[in-house]
Amino acid sequence: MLRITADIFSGRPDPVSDITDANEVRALLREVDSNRNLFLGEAPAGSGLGVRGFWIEPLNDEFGSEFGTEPRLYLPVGAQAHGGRAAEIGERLVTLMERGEPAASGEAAQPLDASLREFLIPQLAAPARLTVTDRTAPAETEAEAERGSEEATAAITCTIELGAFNPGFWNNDSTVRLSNNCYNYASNWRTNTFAQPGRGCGSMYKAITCAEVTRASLCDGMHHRFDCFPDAESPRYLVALVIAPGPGFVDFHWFRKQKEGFWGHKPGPTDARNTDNSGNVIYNPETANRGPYTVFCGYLYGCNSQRQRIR
Amino acid sequence: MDVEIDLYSGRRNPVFSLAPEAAAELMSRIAALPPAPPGAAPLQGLGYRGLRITGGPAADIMEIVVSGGVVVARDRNGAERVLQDAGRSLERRLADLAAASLDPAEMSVLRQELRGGPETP
Repeated sequence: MLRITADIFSGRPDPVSDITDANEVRALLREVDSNRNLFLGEAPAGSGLGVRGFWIEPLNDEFGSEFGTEPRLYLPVGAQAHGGRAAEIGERLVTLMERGEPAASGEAAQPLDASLREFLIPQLAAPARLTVTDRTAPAETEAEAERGSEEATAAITCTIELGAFNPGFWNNDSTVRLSNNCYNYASNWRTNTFAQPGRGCGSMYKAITCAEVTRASLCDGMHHRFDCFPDAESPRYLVALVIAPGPGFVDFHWFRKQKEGFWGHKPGPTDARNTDNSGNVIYNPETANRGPYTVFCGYLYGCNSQRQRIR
Repeated sequence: MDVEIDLYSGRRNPVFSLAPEAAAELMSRIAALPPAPPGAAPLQGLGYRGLRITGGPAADIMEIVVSGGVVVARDRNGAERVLQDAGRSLERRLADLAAASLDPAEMSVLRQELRGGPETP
């Protein structure tokens, strides 16, 4: 027999269900074994409100060899999930809990029924977007401190959003792939027009230089980094602008920071990706291999009105 | 038949049209290419990525990518054939055809890429 506990409530007892069908238990344990990296021995601290995860624990020693050495395992879901399959396994656990027996030892715990299922399922997947604080690096403030700035010790912070890396949205349909460029990707807005900085606001760049492309992007509604947007302008993405200065090859390019910690980009009409010209995942667009785009212009924020303005 | 030089990320790529005779020659050369070795793939990333041909006479071919010694022909059902362009000879031939309609600076970039090093004056 296997016990599953949904870690949901704060004040009330959590739903607990015992799975007695040996075949179902074995099938689940096989899935646990092949996705062991998604499970923890303890629940993570500070997992927040709403559905946080599931405990699974054998109630006898029959499944010992299949379960391993831990007395119980915890599957974090939602924002705390350790991988995309956590939501799928979480949904399977909810289904098993519905079919299982409400645990006899539970003190008036709510059974996991259809209404609770409807509440739980949408929360299992990791959110498509994270809201985080973007803060000036300590080195920047120290450098300012050395220059004697009175405001140097106070770090500047802005609240921004980081979207999930979803290259399929840009790559799977050939029209979307061919008709949207790096500025569309950075803005996370598909226009199918190969969007150009400043065209939406009526003042496109007049030269491909850091100053001109930045000016045109600000005209579309972007802000310089640490010039914060209000919450109403969410999603406020952190993006980076680079330039290929020539001679011969003159162009601009954008990167956008993703919630997974790396940066995504879309080189013109080709596939969106998170790797640089050396095939390395981009964790720092300033040091990534950018081919001919050798000039790093800086970081800006996009926002909701800016992305809807681009053309 | 249109040929796009796949160079840029932010800007639109330059495009030129092939005359019917050049298009027919191109299709016949492609028909004679052998399959590429396993793992062969077009150039990717930032910078020059090859040439993309669309609007060809073969109704079932949607696009042909000529890039880095590889030719990829995709049909309208999504199936693709990966062929070998030994010595990048087809790519060089297309670059020669581009010379008449391409900006001299862009042409210089293209020739430099195909030469595999900086262009000598």
